[in-house]
Amino acid sequence: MINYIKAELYRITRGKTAINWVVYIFIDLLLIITTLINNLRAPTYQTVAASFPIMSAIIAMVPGAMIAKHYGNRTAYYEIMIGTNIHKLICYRLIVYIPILTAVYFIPVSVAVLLFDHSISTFIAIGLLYLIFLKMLFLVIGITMMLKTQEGAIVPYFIMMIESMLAVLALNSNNDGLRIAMTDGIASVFGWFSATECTLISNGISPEAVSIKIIISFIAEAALMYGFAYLSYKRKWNIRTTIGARV
Amino acid sequence: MGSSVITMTNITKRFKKAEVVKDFSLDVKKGSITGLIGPNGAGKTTIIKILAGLIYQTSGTIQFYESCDDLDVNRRRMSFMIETPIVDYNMTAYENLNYIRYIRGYPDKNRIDELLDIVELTDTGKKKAGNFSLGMRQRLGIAMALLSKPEVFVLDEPVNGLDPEGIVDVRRILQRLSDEQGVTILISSHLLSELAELCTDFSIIRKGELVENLSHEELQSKCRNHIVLKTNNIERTAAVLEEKLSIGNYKASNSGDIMIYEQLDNIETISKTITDNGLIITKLYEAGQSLEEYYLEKVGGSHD
Repeated sequence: MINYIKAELYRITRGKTAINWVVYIFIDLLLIITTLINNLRAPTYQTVAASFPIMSAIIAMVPGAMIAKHYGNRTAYYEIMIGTNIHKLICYRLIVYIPILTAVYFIPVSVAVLLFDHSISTFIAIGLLYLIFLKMLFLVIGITMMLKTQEGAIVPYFIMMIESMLAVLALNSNNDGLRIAMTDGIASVFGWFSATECTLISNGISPEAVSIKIIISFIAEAALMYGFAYLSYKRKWNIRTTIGARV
Repeated sequence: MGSSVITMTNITKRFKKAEVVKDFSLDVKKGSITGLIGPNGAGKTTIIKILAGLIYQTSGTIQFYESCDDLDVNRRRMSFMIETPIVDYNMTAYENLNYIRYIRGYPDKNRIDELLDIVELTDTGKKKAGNFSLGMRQRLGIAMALLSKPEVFVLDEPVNGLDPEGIVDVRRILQRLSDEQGVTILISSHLLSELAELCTDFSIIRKGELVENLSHEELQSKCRNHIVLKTNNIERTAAVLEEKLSIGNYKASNSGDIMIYEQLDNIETISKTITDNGLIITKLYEAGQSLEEYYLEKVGGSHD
């Protein structure tokens, strides 16, 4: 496993100029500031939750793009051709990207919030937002590994956009910005979306009230994405061996 | 020749309704250089993709080292290069090799310089692979495949698009690998002429079906299909052939050449008998189709 982690870190850090790194740092700072923009002077977890679905979707595009490039130039297929265990293929990506993105985005955002508010609710909300963040990373890594194309990187962003639109519908359908009745048919499904969960938190619902739903939806989505990525490799879906051709 | 390292038995591959490989069998012996020859679209790349584990066969079995089990484990002893070389265009030659070194978990960093030297890419420095010529990329692809010192090296159309000098370079590298390190090589091409000098065995494929498996000697022998003889007296020569050598299958041309289609292994006896009967031989040699003509006859027509 360690050799794959080293290889991935080597791959994603090669061929970058100093300008590239400056741009990455600038974008990272911009995303952190935008997440807190609603209340920059004293950000709370509600401030973060309001913009979190879109921001985390944008951040999640980073591993998507990195992995998609790996498939784009077909270097990812070395791993298949040397008979690498599929679980290792999925796990090394999670091990590489989750800590990096946590360090460059989630930790700075959380620290900014905790500096101004360190109540129990804030800690719980940050924990739940982290699960949503991880869910997004599982989604992007799973989908990119499944599709094995560059397009895989932007699919989660579109999913998040759709989720955000549906979340609004779900909230409106109840004529109540704060609660969703889980018996409202199709609207109840929207309640399990990351965007809806974040909107509820930002609208002031107690984080504890949605914690179970967030934990369950994280476990379900992570398992689903892991399963898809595994199945995709096991069944050898969409493997592109020649430029411009897929099998 | 040693034991089998790759055995494919009755492999069939269907993509939806199209059957691209039909009942194909192949046996690659240890230490051999086997050429998988067939026109474009014959199914060569599909066969190699199946070997590399990139796709599954619809039916049939694959064995590595005479075992159906642990194909993935045995793939670690092999290296594959499929059509265009798989390189990261944003990395230099050294970085590409170092990346593969990490993936393979190969500890010796000096191997990179050794390989760059073998494929003559030492002086590329900080030049990105994206700026390499096709020949350079092909050589880098070979170096990447060789990094972990594979026992078996499978290459799909490695000389495609290369200039004559590039083709000779690739052939020389492969010959060196076989001679010096005993690497078993399976190489595909749509041109027999590219592989005729290199391969010890040939497997000819057409429209997904195996046409013929044969060794280099067998191929040479099959191409040699008659003896050309010319003497100072055509009538007396014909009589000697029939009476003294019992050769009935021959044909005389207007130019005075006699084409003998039997006893091809007895050229010395034929020569001696003709001379002993007081005839003067002015021409005597084995002739036949060129390798290319033989191949074209087998695959049915001209190259794609």
